Amino acid sequence: MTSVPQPVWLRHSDGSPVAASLVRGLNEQHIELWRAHWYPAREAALSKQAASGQKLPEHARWDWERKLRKVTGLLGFAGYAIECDGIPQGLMLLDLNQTAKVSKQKGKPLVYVQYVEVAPWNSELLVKPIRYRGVGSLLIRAAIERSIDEEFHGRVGLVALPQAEGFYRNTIGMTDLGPQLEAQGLRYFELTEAQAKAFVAKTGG
Amino acid sequence: MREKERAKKTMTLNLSDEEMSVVESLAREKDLSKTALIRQALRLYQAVDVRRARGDKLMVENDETKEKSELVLL
Repeated sequence: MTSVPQPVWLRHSDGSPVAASLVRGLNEQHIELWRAHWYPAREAALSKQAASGQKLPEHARWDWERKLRKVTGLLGFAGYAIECDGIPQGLMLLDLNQTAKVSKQKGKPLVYVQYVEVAPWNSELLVKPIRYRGVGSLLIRAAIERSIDEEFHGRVGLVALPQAEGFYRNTIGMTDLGPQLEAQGLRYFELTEAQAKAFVAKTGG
Repeated sequence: MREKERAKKTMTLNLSDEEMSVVESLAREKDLSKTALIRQALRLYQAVDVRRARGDKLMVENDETKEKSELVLL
């Protein structure tokens, strides 16, 4: 079994490193922390944006409490958090029941990233400067490691919100399969075994 | 929802030749070990069972014709 080495490292906005931990499996405490910290921070940032007439980010109203409760007890879903300062800095929900679409791995199982989000204070769409960088990459790295653990060879798929397309295409190195009718026209991205290996090597594998 | 310690437990599975042949064939096709295949099957079975217990129907759709039909399970 592979694993992401602990601690994991985030960066302050000045580039200095900060130790964090990757938590596999989410529970009531994460829901409480989301409600106590993320929710008010997000609402404050959104009110500011709305007052200045800015367009709100696409994931502006994600409700993690509802998302997590919906899949409680299901083996096909797995939650992850990056924690620092005793608070989740990013959350991710994986679906382990999906299959690949890229032709050379079509029909083979993959880890599907159903939701991934960084805390409001780590999102450049909401605040500047952000508190910690690198949360999204660490979560995607965790999805790849889970895929390897499940014998899916690093295959990962996801539907990207428009503001995140560049991150998945350029930073992670995923294949862009274009807009998907069943995902309201959002673009589907997939990581092959070779692309997963390249990303792991790039991020200290 | 926190996952228990990922220590694995071992069980013996008694399968007929025909069943084993299907397990081996699917494992090859999906690029999985037999253990990983059974684990995947369990996840899917649970997902279907939970939805059916809620009163949902299991539908399948042909990718090309878009024809939908109900998958009837006993």
